[in-house]
Amino acid sequence: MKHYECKHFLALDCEKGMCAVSRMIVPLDGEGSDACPNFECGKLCKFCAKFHDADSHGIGTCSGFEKETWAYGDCGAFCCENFENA
Amino acid sequence: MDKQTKIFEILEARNRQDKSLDVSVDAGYTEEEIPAPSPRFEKLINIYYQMKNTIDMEIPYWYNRVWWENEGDVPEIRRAKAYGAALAHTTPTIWPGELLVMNKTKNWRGAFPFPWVDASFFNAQAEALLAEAEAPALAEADRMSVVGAGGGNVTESYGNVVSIAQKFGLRKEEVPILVKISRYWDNCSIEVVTQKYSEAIPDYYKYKAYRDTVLVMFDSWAIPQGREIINYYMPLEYGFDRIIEMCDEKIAEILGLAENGDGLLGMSRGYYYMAMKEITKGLSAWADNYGKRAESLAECEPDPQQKKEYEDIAVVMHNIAHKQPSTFREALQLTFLCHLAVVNEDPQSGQSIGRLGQVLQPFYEKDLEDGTITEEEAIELLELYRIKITSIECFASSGVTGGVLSGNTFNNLSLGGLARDGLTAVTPLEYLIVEAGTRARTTQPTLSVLYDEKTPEEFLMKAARCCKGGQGYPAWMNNQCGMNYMLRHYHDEGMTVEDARAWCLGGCLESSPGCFLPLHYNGKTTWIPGGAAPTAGTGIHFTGLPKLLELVLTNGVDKRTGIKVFEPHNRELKTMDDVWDVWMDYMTELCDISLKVNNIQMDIWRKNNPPVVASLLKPDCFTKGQTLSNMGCRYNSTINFESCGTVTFINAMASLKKNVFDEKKYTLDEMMDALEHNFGFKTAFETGVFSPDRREATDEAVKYEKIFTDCVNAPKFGNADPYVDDLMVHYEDLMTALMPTLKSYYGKPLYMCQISVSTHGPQGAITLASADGRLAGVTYADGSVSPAANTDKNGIYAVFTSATCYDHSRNQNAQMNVKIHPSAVAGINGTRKLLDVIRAYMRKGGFHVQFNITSSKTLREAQKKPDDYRDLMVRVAGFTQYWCEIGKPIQDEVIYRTEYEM
Amino acid sequence: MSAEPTGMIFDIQSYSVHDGPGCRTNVFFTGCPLKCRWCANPESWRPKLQFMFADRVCKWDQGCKACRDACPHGSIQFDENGKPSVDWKICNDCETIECTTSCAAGALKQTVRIMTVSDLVNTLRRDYNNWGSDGGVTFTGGEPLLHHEYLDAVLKECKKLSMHTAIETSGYATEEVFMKIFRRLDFAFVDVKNMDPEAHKWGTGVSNERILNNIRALKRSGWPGRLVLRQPTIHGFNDSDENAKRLIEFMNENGLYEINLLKFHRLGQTKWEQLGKEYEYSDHGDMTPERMSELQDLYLDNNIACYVGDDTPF
Repeated sequence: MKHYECKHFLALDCEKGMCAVSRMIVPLDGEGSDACPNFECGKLCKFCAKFHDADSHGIGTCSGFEKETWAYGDCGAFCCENFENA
Repeated sequence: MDKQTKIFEILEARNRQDKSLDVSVDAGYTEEEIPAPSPRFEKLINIYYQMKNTIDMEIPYWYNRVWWENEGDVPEIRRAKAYGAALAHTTPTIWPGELLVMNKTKNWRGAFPFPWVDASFFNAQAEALLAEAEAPALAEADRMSVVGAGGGNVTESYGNVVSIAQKFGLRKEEVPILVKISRYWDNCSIEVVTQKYSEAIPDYYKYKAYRDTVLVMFDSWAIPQGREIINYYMPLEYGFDRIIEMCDEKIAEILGLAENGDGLLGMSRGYYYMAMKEITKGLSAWADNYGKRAESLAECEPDPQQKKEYEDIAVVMHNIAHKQPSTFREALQLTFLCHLAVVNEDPQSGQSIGRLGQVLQPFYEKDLEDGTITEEEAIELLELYRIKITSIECFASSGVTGGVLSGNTFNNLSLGGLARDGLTAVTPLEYLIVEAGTRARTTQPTLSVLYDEKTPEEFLMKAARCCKGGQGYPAWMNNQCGMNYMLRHYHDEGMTVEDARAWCLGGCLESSPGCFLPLHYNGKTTWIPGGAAPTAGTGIHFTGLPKLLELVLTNGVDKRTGIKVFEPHNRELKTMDDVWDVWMDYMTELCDISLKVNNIQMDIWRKNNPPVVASLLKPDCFTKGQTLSNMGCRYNSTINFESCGTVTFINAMASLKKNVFDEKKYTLDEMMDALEHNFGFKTAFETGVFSPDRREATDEAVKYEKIFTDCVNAPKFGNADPYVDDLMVHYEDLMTALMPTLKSYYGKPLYMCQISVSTHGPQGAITLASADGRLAGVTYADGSVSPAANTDKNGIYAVFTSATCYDHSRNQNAQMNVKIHPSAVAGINGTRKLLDVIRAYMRKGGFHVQFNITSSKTLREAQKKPDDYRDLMVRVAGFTQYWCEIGKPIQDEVIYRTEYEM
Repeated sequence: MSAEPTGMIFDIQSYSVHDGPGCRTNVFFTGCPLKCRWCANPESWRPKLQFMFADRVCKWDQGCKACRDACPHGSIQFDENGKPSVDWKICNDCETIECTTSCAAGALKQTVRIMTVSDLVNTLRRDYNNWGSDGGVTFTGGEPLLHHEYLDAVLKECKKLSMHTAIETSGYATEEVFMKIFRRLDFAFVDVKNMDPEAHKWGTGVSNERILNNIRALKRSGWPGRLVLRQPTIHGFNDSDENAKRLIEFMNENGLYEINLLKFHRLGQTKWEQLGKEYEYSDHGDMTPERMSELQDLYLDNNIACYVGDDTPF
């Protein structure tokens, strides 16, 4: 698991974010990008029960709404009214 | 006892006996130190400095999804649903230490592409982008970009980051999403549709030639909103819940009803209120989401103080999601929400905050009365607000982002001016805004003082002190001049003296109309100012006046590209009048054709992509039930003609007049030969230096050295020399006569906007040597009335005299840059003397003056060692930017500008 | 036809903020009866048309040779690298300075122009709009008193227009001239470079007697203006306690209580070189900030308001 997949991850930019608990700046890639033992799963489409059939690009199907459509796994879902933990 | 006290004791003792001593001896002459910004600000700004400009796909994804789910719906309602859903689903990020929250996207310096506006860029590069995304990540050593080089700009790809437009980083894994979404818009983006209809204009090929030769820069569709003043009145007065109720009431009352004689507008009202309801729901949900995120953060927060801060944020966000704000902090937060909501609905820059210190004064006043805020607490919030505004980035096409904007989004905050009752509008809160800007120096919001003789001296002194910080703000605008322009240009739309008093700057320098509306708060009614018009900086875009003169001399052909831009005039130019005649013929044709294209671009935008948040906020849209597209705003004659390189053009004309026509030292052919051969020097592109003080001779230099000297030594604008200044007056006369003959897509007359923003760099780059002795490729003179660098030999008062050789209130603006060495304005006396010089220019009717109070030496150092000067700011065209984030040609130009140092 | 008097002006600087109250226009006269060894404006010594050769802005290194035929007297020569120089033996007597029109870089620059009273007054009238309520015109140089006829005519016009007038002067003139000019002045800086007549003569070429006498006469006359003494403070020449004490004594005797000490600087050095003169103060004369502060204290302790450099209350 990566920092950016964690509930405590606060986005900063295309290469880094911040851990809300430790207040440390954490990288998205490479060394130091793996989550710590306090990891809690964040809300991303790929962690939603209604998201399935992702392809190699992470693009899958969202069936959480009236009209089924495509979605991508890394999309933030904190505000999604129909998010369900997988 | 310190020396100064002693000096004043001595002087005071003497003063009693000696009447000649006219100094005021009751105050010291050393200024008090500027307090440090709050620790909270320091902490957050230091994070900001490490941030990369980043685009991500959350908002485009949700916009795209909901837009297509509503295919066939009425455009404004479809827009409101799509954009509302995008706001309601974007991830709200709150960082520890923040009091004021919200961002454009989940990232700090975030932005996102607008494929519905412009997809061709991505579609054309889809394969390349995908290939880049598939490529393995670079070696670890290359993974992190070089900090300091270019500040937050991501100028090239690295690791898992793809550079877009040399400015933004995009995560590789999001590239397929960008490509996928862009494909939806391949045939229906604003760009594509406007292109289709523009091409149907028989003369379109001529417009294409203007653009291909860079005679004219930019298209309106690329950045259709901005250069205007936002209006925060609706939510501040009513709150979102009440707005939704009002929409329901209106829908119940008028949906399905047309007014007598309705063309389309009567029926449109119903759809308008449906759309406004949708977008208001989106705005409300967006605020609530931040509240929820704050609650979620509070739950896991071990530190009690930070936990409390998250909880407070939650209260603020949930309250403003529904109700009229109940505190200053809530009101500030709500205005910021509205601001982000507008700048996220179209690619845009120059969405001005307006006169915020007057808008929010009632809220601040109540908190003070209630004892719930101190001055210092208010200043801290305003410091944090500066970080928030500075973090607003704009993703537009590459040329627009780098070329026009230098990366700045010009969220201008105006101060001063007059209130509705004709008395000074300065409020206690405005002092704090200046204080926050003095302590916490960031590029945005840039501050503009609307100088009026009624403005309190202590306020002017405070603003002048702030100016000395070297960060380039505040700029100084002439309030009476601005009002006169309002009354002149908007007369036919019923501009009143009261509304004229509500004007301020939209964008960096675009005078824009406003109005006052009655805010009911704290048991009283306050008339607060705000914008009352759509974009005042869209129209016939940046036209290089020196380039047009070059085309007159080359008989219509661009020597650089070989493109035939105009039909050959084939006239022998025997007199100055002949030159003026042909120049104006070309100018008129350029305006006629560019206008048509611009009108189509803006018309397609307003029809297919009607702005919804702006249509909620701008008076009198809600009252009339019309979107901004349907002329819902109170004032609509806002479309302009933008010029670039005015002074370079005037100087070139002066040299032609003197050397060719009056003194007949050279024939026009000889002059043209010299210009084409760059007076025998290497071009700026060959030398890599874009500043006028670098010229490298070629073998041909000897041949042209005499004509070159005569051109350089020809009279120059800015020396109070009527020989040149009269040419400026003539130019103004010709152009102000042409403008009203041009009618915008609203059917309203155009006017002149004389700011170069940053286009004097690229447009100078494509222009041959000019008769004023400027070499090929060298940046044009910045500003519209400030002298070309190092050509003002008679001092600043002579500059002011030239600059005001015509009435500035004839046009939207006139731009004056002055560089002053810090030593000239040291101490309290220095502040007073700075104010003296500002006042001198204002008294003459100068519209605008801005200062760079940084020594050339510092700037040269910073050019060499950008890492050591990450926070150094300079004033470029009408805005402040981090030195390390502006391009080299503009850096060279800023260094070379004349510095007044006594 | 009676010829209007003319003045030889080598510069007019606007927005000058350290030469009197408020924002000012400084008018620099050329010609000076003193020849200070440390002078910052040596181009102003001789009252004649002059030029300077500023080799720092010369574009020879970028291949420019535009001045090759510009001097009819053969003064301009190029070295093997193509760098031009002028022969001051020829140039010092030149009255025509044809060379200055050939230069596009501003390296060969005419430094003096001849202005009539109305030329100068018209420029001041233009600048009058900019000074604000405190500012005005300051005549400096060179030595403005050297051009007293012209200056008097200009001052007369200035006073008609109620301009605030100031002077920076060595004070070296006959008492008659000194008093004639001062009656039209509101503000004055008078230099007292050394209290010792011999030392004064060594440093400036003239004795200080006439200067001190003029100051005495002025104070006796009940002149209503504001007089601030000035001293360019130079290590080894006039920075001793002894000199300061004598000056304090002089000031007390004459009811003077303001002095402005200017720390020695070397900004004029390149001008000496540009004029083909050797600059003797290239490696000495510097004052430390500590010593300036000590001197300031000495004056303050004696109830004289002493300002250092630009740090003045006006």
